[in-house]
Amino acid sequence: MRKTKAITVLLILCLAAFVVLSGCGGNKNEASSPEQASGNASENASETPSAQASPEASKLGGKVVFWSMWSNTEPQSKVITEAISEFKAANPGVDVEVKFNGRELFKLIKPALESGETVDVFEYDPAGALANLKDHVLKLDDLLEQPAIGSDGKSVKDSLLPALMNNVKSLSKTAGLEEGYYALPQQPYAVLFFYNKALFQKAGITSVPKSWEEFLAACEALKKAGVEPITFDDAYRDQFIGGYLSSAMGSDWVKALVTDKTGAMWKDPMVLQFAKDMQALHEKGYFSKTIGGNKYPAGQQDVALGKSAMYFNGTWLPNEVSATAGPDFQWGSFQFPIIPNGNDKGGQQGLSFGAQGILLNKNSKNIPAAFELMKYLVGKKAQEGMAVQALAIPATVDTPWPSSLAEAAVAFDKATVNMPWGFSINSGADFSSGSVIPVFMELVTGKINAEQYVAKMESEAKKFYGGK
Amino acid sequence: MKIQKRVIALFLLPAVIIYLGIFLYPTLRTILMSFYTIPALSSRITEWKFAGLANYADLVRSPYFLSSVRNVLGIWLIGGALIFGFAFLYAVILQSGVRWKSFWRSLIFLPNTISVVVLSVVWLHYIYNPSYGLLTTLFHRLGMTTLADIQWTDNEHLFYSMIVAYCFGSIGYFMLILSAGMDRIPVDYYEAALLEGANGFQRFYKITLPLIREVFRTTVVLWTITASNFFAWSATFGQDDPHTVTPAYYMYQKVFGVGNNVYAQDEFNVGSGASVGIMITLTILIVSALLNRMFKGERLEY
Repeated sequence: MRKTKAITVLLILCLAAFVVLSGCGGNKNEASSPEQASGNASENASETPSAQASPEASKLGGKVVFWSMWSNTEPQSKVITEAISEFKAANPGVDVEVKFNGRELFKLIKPALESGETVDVFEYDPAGALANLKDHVLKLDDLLEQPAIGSDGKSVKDSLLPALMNNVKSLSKTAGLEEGYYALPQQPYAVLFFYNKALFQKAGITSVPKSWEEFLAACEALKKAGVEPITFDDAYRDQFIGGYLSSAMGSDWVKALVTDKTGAMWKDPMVLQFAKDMQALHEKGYFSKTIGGNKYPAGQQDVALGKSAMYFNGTWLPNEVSATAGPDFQWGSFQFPIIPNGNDKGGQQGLSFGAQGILLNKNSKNIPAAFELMKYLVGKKAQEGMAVQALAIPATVDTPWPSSLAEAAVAFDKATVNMPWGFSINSGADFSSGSVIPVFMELVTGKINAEQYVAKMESEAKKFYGGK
Repeated sequence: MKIQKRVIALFLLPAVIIYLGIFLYPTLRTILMSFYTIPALSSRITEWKFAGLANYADLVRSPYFLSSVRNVLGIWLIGGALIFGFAFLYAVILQSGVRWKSFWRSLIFLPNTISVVVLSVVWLHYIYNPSYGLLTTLFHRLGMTTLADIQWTDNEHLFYSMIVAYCFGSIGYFMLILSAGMDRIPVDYYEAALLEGANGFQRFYKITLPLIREVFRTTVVLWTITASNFFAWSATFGQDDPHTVTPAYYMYQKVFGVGNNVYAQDEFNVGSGASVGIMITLTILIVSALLNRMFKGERLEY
């Protein structure tokens, strides 16, 4: 008995030490950031009158509860904390309660809203939010005419990137809501090939590959230079399939493919071409050896460590691995190469881009103050902070982009068609996660060949949709 | 003194009301929900659309759901064999009078006190990781390159890797129950058997096993319930990967719309989640009844 007690005491001591230590660390950070922020806030208040521009701002009162999708260890939370203290300085009557949930928020928010918990403002991916939380989101159209924070008299609507605003608006129709804006876009992203510039130089690749042929040549050069050309993690397997197929045929075709109830579309020559190309990538050793077992974020760490050269992912990648990659890591990016034999819907006119969103609870008891807070979160200064501290693309117009994403701007400029997340490969819901992705992995790891892939997908589709 | 029945009823009333309110009502409501198409968890009953047995029929036809059922059966069988094998082994070793009994018992139980999320991060990223994980490093050191190159978390191995990781954390719990049961057995039996010249195996099969039959039955029922509700590990190991998905995780996806977005084809239906819940409950009831029948026989008193 005494021994158990001793062990228990030891464990408790360890735990206590851990709590105390981590607690101190946390305090230090917290202590320094609000100080900084409030300093900035007062500075800003005296410099730019726009903070007090909306007449009722200072009269606002009550409480606003804000749930963030960032965790308090991420740089985004620091920027948000600064924006909130700036908001508080301008609106001393409003009490803000912020909760940094991290991405757990996506699981927590729906039960919270449905049980009537007080959450006035929350962050969420707009495409997900408008599908899952339709009955809880407020249409912001009227509020968007208010002047933005720090944007010289521009309205909130005009201060944000038009492509993102249009995208948010288009989602409302797809979701079956009255057309309008239900979210303020922030943290824009695009899905691109990210690559290590130093490794490309070492392999003697001078320009980014535009066609599939050039892409294969780049892979060969990288392999000869002793680098694994391509990798991805389990979380982004869908992107690679969708990226290839939509680059050939456009994302509407991809959607038709994964929702085809007869399975006949899988016999399309493009599917066979895709399967043959994937088989070739595997046979030539262009995929990372660990690609089958990569659990997020193992693969992207390989890129950051210089083991692998290319990764098809969202523009958040450089920030996510910045701690491993270090400040000198040279990021480049390019769109999925053009696939031969496609139709006119594919190519580089289409880009999977979008944004995270800030949304307002329809049942909020304090809408004016809540929206005022949202304005600060997408204010010019907060967005500059996101670009500098979180290496994110700013949502406001005319704000400079982080240098690691300079090449991504090219793709944004070129794109005319917005493709949904995953290029519609996930539109098959259970069929996508249950068959499309796992069978693709069998192909990628060489368990089946191209012909077997086509046959298997056709029969899986028949099996899945057969009963419906 | 004889207490009137009415008084007994009065004292039981609060407990009964609470039980009915927080257990029976949700159960009945879920049964009802499973026959309807329901757009959201908070939808009013007027928004429900009667669907008859359609939710159940859809489930039985969905290959994705069927693979989740296969997975849970595999977990119950393989995981059960692993857990009970090791739990018995450890319990017997502990009972055999090994030194520092309490220390070993605490050590084996320790993984139970760690959160599932932490444990799965450790397993996924420090043990199974294909570049710097414990397994690959170990096999490389030993020069076994084929073993070192195995991708423990790919399509083929993910399911078994998950079971091993899960069992690692669960053996201690079942060991504790079994060894408490063994502690109750009077030492005299063992002493008598020892004097008669019985060896360790004989003592285990002839004394320990028959005398902890009741405890064993309870642990098997507990294990069945745990396995049927297997959720957190499939969430952390595979998310919606069909190799690790279980009915409980599938139900969660259906009820809370995880991974759902405006582009998805499937209509969001809480009712189909409810029918998964009902099926899990029925399975547990049936299996418990079967186990009760299997372990029937007179109770041994000692």
